[in-house]
Amino acid sequence: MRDSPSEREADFSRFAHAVHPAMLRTARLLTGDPHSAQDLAQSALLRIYMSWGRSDTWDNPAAYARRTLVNVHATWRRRHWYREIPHRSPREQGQAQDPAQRWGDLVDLERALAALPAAQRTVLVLRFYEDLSVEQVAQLLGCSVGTVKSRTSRALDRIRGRAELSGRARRDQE
Amino acid sequence: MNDFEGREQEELRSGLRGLADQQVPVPAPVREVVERGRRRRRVRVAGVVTAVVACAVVAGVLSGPRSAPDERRSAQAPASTSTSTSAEPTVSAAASEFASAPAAAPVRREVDPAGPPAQPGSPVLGRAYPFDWGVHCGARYLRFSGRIWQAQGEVSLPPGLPGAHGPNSAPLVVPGYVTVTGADTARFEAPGYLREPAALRAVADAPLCA
Repeated sequence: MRDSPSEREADFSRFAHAVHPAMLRTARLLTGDPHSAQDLAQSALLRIYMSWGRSDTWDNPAAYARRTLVNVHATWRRRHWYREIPHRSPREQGQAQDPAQRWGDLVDLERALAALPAAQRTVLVLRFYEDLSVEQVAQLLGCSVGTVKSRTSRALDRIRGRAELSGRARRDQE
Repeated sequence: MNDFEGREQEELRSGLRGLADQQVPVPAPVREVVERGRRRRRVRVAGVVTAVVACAVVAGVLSGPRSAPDERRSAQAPASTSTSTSAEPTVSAAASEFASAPAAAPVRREVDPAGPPAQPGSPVLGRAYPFDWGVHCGARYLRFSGRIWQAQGEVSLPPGLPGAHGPNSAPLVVPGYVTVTGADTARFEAPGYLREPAALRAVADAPLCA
């Protein structure tokens, strides 16, 4: 039981420092932009702070933080970053010439993700970055399992359709 | 899920992690979040207070026309009593006791065989007090609250009036209510007996049979 506001804020501070790196990485994938990711993570932290008084009732605060991040991203319409498709920066161009040829090209993957609708992008991030099951994603997004599966399938189809993302897996198959 | 899809998804996982790794770590903006949170709480509290005050103002405006007459009546009563003399009606707790039961809504009264209603020593202006008006010599004068009141005009009495101790007794009375309306004015009303209230005025004396 946290009595004083200062104790609550101290607890929140410890929690925020613990979860912020992971939130930032997920936000980076959701937004496709490092600066928007920082804004998104901060907005999510603010929402968590506003409800921190009820944190005693949370079963898994980290999962709550992830859910808040996704919800804030889903309702965040003040900026239009979700329509933007990033261009290659010189640094990223250098990385693109990496002979290791990771999943196609990270920059192209980022562009492919940015071209996806927000709902499909969110499902991909939760399924393949957060490694959540279909049921967990459905519960987090408040939709049906079938919806998650269909969004995942459509998102993968669209990514496959991009020439630059044919990927090593397809090449390996050939 | 076939082997291709499995490899494809593993590659996608690897790519997503690579993208996430590109995010430059920054310190958690705890201070900014706390400051924004405090500010937002203050705004919320101010909004709630404003809403409560607005609701109170709206409620006051809506209920104003109904409460205004009551306020005017309560404001008038002390003003009138302040001009009265010691023999005139004044506000008193004892008077309130007498007037408490039947004062509000005059209804037809019946004679109490046990005796006439008690009279207040200092009647409250505007309050109706139960009173049995003895009319064996006509409805011209009545004695109420230690004063003599004269009817201002002829009061037509209906047939079949009860007696002071009930039906078929004597002397005849009109069961009704006396309401003091001013320093020297009052009215007598008897629903079910008199068609309209009788206006009264305080006088110094009265004939023997009154």
